[in-house]
Order: sequence, then structure tokens, then C-alpha cells
Amino acid sequence: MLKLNKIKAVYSDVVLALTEVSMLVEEGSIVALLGSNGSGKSTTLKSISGLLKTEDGKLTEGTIEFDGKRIDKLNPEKIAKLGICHVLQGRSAFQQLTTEENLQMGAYLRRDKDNVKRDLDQIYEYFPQLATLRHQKGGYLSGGEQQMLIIGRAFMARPKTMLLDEPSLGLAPGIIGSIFAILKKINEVEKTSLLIAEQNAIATLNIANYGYILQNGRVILEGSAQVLKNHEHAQGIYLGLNSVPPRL
Amino acid sequence: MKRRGRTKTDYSQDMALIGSTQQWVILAIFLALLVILPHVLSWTHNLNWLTFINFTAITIIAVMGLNIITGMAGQVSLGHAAFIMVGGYTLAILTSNAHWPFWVALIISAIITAVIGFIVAVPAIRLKGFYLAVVTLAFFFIAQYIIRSLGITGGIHGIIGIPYPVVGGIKINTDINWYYLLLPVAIICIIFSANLSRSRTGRAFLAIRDNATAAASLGINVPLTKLRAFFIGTLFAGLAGGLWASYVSVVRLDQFTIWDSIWYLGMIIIGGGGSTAGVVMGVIFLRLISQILHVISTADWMPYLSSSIMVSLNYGVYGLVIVLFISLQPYGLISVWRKIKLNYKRWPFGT
Repeated sequence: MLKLNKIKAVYSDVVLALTEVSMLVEEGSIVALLGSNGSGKSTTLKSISGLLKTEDGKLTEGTIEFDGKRIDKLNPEKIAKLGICHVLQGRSAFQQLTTEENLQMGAYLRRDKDNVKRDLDQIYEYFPQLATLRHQKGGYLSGGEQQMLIIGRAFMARPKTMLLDEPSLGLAPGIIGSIFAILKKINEVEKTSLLIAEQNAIATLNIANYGYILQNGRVILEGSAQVLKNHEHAQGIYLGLNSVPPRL
Repeated sequence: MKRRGRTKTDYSQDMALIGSTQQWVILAIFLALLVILPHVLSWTHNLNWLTFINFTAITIIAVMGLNIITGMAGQVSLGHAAFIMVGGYTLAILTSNAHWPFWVALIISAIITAVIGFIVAVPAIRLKGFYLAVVTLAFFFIAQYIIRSLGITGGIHGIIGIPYPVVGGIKINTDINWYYLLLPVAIICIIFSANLSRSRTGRAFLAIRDNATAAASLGINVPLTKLRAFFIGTLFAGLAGGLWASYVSVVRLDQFTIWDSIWYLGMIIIGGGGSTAGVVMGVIFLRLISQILHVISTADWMPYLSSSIMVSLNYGVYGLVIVLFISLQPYGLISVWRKIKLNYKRWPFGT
């Protein structure tokens, strides 16, 4: 279980990115993290995975707990070791490594070689497209394929919780659908908890159990996926479901 | 359609350094040629080429070290000549002052260089790109200053008369003997380096070069991995420096210049960064050009020109070749080789 307790995040000691963000990702659940550009979704994920520290940012208030253990002071590699894998935004495949080598990198911390091999086959079953691109360099894959690759790479780490930063970024609608379907499947079969930061609210809420909506670094609305989908305010302003422009 | 060339069908084939019987045969023939090479050169009275080959072997070892730091792990270092210098001086002191046996001194000087490389890297790896390059450049001048100031290193006069190594009762004092000493050492280093890029550690180097943030998110300790790259890379530098000092039996400050550091980077770029085979090609290619230019400019049929004009002309042509090569083949010699292989496999269908 991942628990954020009123965290405040600052970049370069001056730029305030998050205030009083509290969040809960229960084991085996899918949680949506929604909000417009610059609302603090990526910063929230980076705070959890520890990557905030590598970008001159830090948490000045609040705590983050994972399975009852405080992780907010740990380095990224320690947090990864505990079972949190951050799937970065955009095309973060290792460009010069092949698909298979990229996937192998996901299992960097694992020593159980036989299971790694089985998981590799599992990935190729989830994403048959990747199997045909085994020996292709990561940099030559299309945007959608790279997204599949980095989700697969994260899967190879066998994390308890996966943090996904805009998995739909720059992808065609059909591919978005299949990626979300696989995410749902991974969640159901492997019992991996997912925290998905997304712009594509409908697709995300369709698979999520719970959701948070961020604005200017604060949680302004939270609730079950069903409630958020039907919430008038949320629908209009943040989810873009209304055909009529919302009153401001 | 029957596929030409070799098609990998499983992961173990992908991991194997040498895949097929055919490749083993080619390799065996190539090694046999390398073994008889000095005799061929001595029959044809071309022994000065052997000096060139020996220096090339040492340079290959040195540049493979830089390739681990810069090509694989992506950390630009301009201090590589300084690490070679440290290795050379350490070996000189250990063999001519302390009278240690050659192999022990060589291994210890490589390890000492690697420890120094590690220590230098501790503050340096906090920086990236140009900033890191400048810090390693600063290390070069600091190392030069320290060696010039110390008494044990002989100041500006250096250390002369480094004893020739004795291996199995044979004194290694001729170019042919040196060739048979350097060849196995270089081959071991090449195998080590080629294997490294497939190992867990080597993959971590490539990962932090391609995307350090993503690497960290997968549990790779990025600072520690960079330190490892510097340690292994400078270990090669120390080894090359020790061999060099012992081969020329003298170390002096002017043997290790900042230009060497820059040329080593150039060799990596020409060869194709990150690839061991590419680096070997890059070193041979650049050294061969400069050697050919040297042979031409000193040939009998060349009209007499003053030596300063000759030197400038050499550098000019050398630079021109490199500029042309990089603009036509920006991914280096290794990419040319890969294209040839791919075309062979797909012939006659083109792309």
C-alpha cells in the first residue's frame, strides 16, 4: 500500500510544485491521477519514485509510506528495490539497446534467471508486436511500440506498484485502447497496483477504481472512478466530457 | 527463400561472442596470420612496421578503456592521457627504483591507476557533458604538475632506462618479442571489453548513457555505475601506460599530451562509440592514416620541403580525411561494417 501524506514538493528551492497532496494506492488497485498540464501529476510520481531528487527538486513537508515503511528520503534505486517501478513519460526506451536487451534491463535487480526468462515470454504474449522486434534497437521502434516496450520493461522488474506517466502520450486512439487493456490485464493477473497519471481521463477512469484530480499542485477532487465520471464539475472542466463549454 | 548470413533464433545465440563454426574458422585463420605476421615483415625487411603495430596494440588497449568510460557509459573524459601517464610512471618507479618483476609491477600500476581514476571520478561524476570534460581536463594538468614537481618521478627529465621485462627467461627487448607479448595482452583486453558490454554491469553502462533517469527507475545506482565505468576504464589506461613505459623504456612528461586525450576521443568517434570492434577499427584507421602520411612525406621521390611545411601538411591532410569521413559516415566505421553485413544478408532484395 502506497500512502502520500500531505506532501509539499519544491524545485530548485523556489518553485512550488505540490502542496498538501495526500493520496492512497491500495494493494491491487488502479488509481487515476488526472489534471491538466502543469497540475503536478508528474511531480507526484517523481516524488514517490525518488526521481525528484535527480531533478533538483525535494519534498519539504509530508511523508510517503510504502508498505508501512517511509520512503521519501530514499534514493531512486532503493525505492525501485522495494518494488515501485516508475514508467517515465515519453520515449524513454534505451535507444541503443535492442528490445530484448531493454526488457532484460527491467530485470536488472532480479537474480532468478529462470523466472526472468518466463516473464520475458509473458511480455511477448501480452505484446506480440514486441516479439517480432526482439533484435531491433529501441530507438527504431515507433512511439506506440516504445510505450509497450517501457511498460514491458517495468513489468520485468516485477514491481508491486507501477507508476505510469501518461502512457497514452502521442499515441493513436486504437493503440491507447490496447495499452490500457493490457494494463488492466497486468493488474488483474499479476495483482500489480497501478497509479496512472493521464490526460486521457475517460480511458483511465474506465479501468481505474479510484481517482484524484489535481490542479495547481493540489488535490481538488477525489472519489471512486464512477463518481468522478459522473461528477458534473469534473466532467466539464477537467475531463472534457461535456459538449457544451463549461461556465467558468 | 534461404536466408544468407547468420540469423539468430534464440537468446543464447545473441549472447555468444562467436556464433558459428564458420566464424571460429575465420577467427582461427586470422589469429594464425597475426602470429606469423612479424616473420613476414622481417623477410620483407619491413620491421619498422612492427614498431607501428606494437604502438597500435598499446593504443587499442588505452582507447578501449576510454571507450568504456565515454563510449559505453557516456561520460566524456579528456583526462585519459593523464591516466596512461600515471600508469607509465607507476610502472617505471616500481621496476627501475623498486626492482619489482614486470608482471607484478604492471598489474599493480594498472590497479593504482584505476584507484586514482575512481578517486578523481567521485567529485567529477556529479557533472555531465562539457562540465565533466573540463574537470577531467583539469585533472590532466594537475597530474602533469604533480609529476613534474615530485622527485621520485624525475621531474622534467623523467625516468630513463626502465628495464626490459623478462618473460619465461626471454628478455623482451626486440620488436618481435614485444609483438608476442603485446598481442595476447591486447586480445585478452578485447575479449574482456566485448564481454563487458553484454554483462549486467556493461548493460548498466549503456543504460545510464541512453537514459539515466529511466536507468535509476529500474534500480540502477547511477553514481555507482559511473564510478565503476571510470574504475574499469582507467584500469585499461594504467595497463596501457605500463606497457608503453616498458616498451619505450623511458617515461617523460612530453610523451603524454592533451592532444593524445583528444585523439583518443577522435578514434572512438571514427570507430563508432560503445562498440569494441568499432574502437579497434577506429584506432587502426587513424593510426594507419598518420603512418601512411608519414611514409609518403619521408619517401625518396617526394620533392624536398622544409620539415615545418611537411608537418603542417601532414596535419592538414590528416584533419581533412577525418572531417570528410565523419561527414560521410557520422556513425563510424562500425556502422559501415554493419551496413555491409545487412546488405549481404538481404541481397538481392536491397532494403
